[in-house]
Amino acid sequence: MKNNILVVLQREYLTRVKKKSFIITTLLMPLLMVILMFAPALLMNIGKDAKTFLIVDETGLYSQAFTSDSKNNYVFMQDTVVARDSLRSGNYTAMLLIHGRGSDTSNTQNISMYYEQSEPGIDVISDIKSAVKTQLQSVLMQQIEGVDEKVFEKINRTHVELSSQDIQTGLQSYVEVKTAFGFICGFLIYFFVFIFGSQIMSGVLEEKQNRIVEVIVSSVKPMQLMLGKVLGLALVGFTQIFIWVVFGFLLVTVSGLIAGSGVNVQDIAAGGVSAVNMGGQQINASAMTEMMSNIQNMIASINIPYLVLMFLFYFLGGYFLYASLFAAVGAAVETQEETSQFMLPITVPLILAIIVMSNIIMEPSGPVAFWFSMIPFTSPVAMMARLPFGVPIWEIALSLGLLVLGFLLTTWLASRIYRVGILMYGKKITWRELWKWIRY
Amino acid sequence: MLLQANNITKNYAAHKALDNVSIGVKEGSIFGLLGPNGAGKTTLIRIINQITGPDTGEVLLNGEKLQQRHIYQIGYLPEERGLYKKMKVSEQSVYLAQLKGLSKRDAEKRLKFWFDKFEISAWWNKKVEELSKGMQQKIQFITTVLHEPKLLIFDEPFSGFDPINTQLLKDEILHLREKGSTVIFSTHNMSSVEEICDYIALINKSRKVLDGSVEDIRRSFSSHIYEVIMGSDENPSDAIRVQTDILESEKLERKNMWRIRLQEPNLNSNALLQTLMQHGTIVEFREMLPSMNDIFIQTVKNDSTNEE
Repeated sequence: MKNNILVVLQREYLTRVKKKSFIITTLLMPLLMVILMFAPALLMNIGKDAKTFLIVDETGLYSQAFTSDSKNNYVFMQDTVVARDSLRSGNYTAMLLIHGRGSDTSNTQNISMYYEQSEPGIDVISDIKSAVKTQLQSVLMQQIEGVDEKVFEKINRTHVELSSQDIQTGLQSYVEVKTAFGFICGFLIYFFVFIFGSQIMSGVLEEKQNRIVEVIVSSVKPMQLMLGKVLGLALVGFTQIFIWVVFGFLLVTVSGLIAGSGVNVQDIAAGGVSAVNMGGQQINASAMTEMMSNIQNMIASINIPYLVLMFLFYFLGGYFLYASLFAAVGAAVETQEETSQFMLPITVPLILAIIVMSNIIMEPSGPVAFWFSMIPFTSPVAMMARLPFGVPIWEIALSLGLLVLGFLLTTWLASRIYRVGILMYGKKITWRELWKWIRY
Repeated sequence: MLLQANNITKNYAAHKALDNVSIGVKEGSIFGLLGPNGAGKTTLIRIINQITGPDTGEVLLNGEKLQQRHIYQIGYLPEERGLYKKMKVSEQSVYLAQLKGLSKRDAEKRLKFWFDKFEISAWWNKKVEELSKGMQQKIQFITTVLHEPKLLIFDEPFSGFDPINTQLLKDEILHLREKGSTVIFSTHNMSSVEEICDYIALINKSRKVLDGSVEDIRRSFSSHIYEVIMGSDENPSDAIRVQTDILESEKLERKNMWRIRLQEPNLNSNALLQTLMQHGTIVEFREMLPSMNDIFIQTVKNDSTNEE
């Protein structure tokens, strides 16, 4: 009878993989991910109009501090009343009134900002504050304390660089890369669980709606039917991931080949220079080479095979955990509209995991990170976000163990709902009703 | 007995679906499972199909306790039936056949045979959603019988079938019996029961209230009503009335012909005939057995009043 699971699995797999939509999403998904990642940054630069600020400077100290650039324009005015009227005319973002400081030696500067309708964001305000602060520091040091201008410049340009290194592997670590990787992996798991989970749900619902399910369960046990579906879709997911990994591998190898042969890089970089020049900036060929090798180092700093392996584990675990629940929802209801009330409790833990993900990445060994990566409902997302930073083996083992227990439990629960639900028509399903089914 | 269900009881949370129901289905017969809606027919059928299990009682197929491998010997056309809309007719039929244990090649070969027989080979590569309802029903019928099961179960097979398909289905069911198949079918279409069933069981309110061969049951429900057509110069009713109860009588168009309906519980038909012969020339004489429909209604009604 095992054979029957296979027959079901085969159908689920083939009908999905042969669909045009599968091929299209497989090709478009990476593109979509890239767009999703870069779109906010792009939008930030595209949609930006230059802002114009009116400044009334009662101290007369800050004409140097504000120089118009592509982002912001500054217009100085003498008279507060005129300035206020101008602001009301609507051509200005805001008006800054820099108050007199009372004493030349005071280290406090009060500024009032007036705006019309929309208040400038926190970025703008902190830009203004830091510009004023720098100028005030400069003035105080040079004019009051008599510090040499060069000395001040030097002190003002102080900066700190921190490089971290794994003491065992000796590899340099790039926290930014790990952060990005953690985010991407966590999101991918979330997406996969959702996409494949809802495909299972609509598959089950379809069988119920078109009334084929009773014919099928007269040949296949409901549990086998459910498992066949869940496994079939897991295989679809694997196929998709496999295609992407192969693509990704090809991409890395190709870029590695280019970076590996110095001459090539020089050529490419040289070609790039002219293009970059037009942008008004200069990057020479050696900087380009350095960047390339930097990227190589970054990629080398994370253990990709290990992460891919873990990704597959957590993807499978998380998928199995949720897939059967989605199947149970599909079996319990009769129309797509009814699904929402039962979807909510399933999706809440997933969404919660996504919400705390940034928290986890900021503190990968903290208590939030720990607990979320232990609870089976959130661990696939949470643990993937933590993994690039390194997680002790015992935690991974515990988390995976709990995940396995979790999906055994949900599969058992779901199958009890499933076997009753698929043959139940014309009954309004409530939570109490579901509980009854579980106990049958 | 090909199939023997013994003392089946099945409870759902709120109600008893089957209460100590036993049926036996003879090999090579057509067995009608009758009963009002909600009586428990579908539950019994689902138990035979191992879709659900009984709380107590057992089902034997060919003397063996029902096991999972037996599903290959059963073909089931449920009341709630359908097909995958987006799948090709051929792929879908092969899939369902594979679930019943046929190899892909075997399934295709047999399907070709049936498709030829029903003259629907042109549908082979069509998607199910392109077919009309009647066409889909033909496919459903084929996939039910394709693996040549010993036992065929049809739950309300005629509901939703158009008259042409209904006739086709009836003919096929009779044909399958000739070839040795055993058929259980549940219905409340009583005329079809008289037409094709050999045996029936009537289930009402989760209990079996009646079973046996259709012939025997109708005879046992006899209310001794006879119809006779006879020739006589004068109306024979008055003379007959002296000996037995006349329900109605009329003169036919033909010259000197009379149709008389009478009730006589005390005499057997031969004795009655002898009496009648004295009053005219007998042209037709038959006992009016109650229809299955009358028996159904009467039994269900009695059962309900007994309970109250």
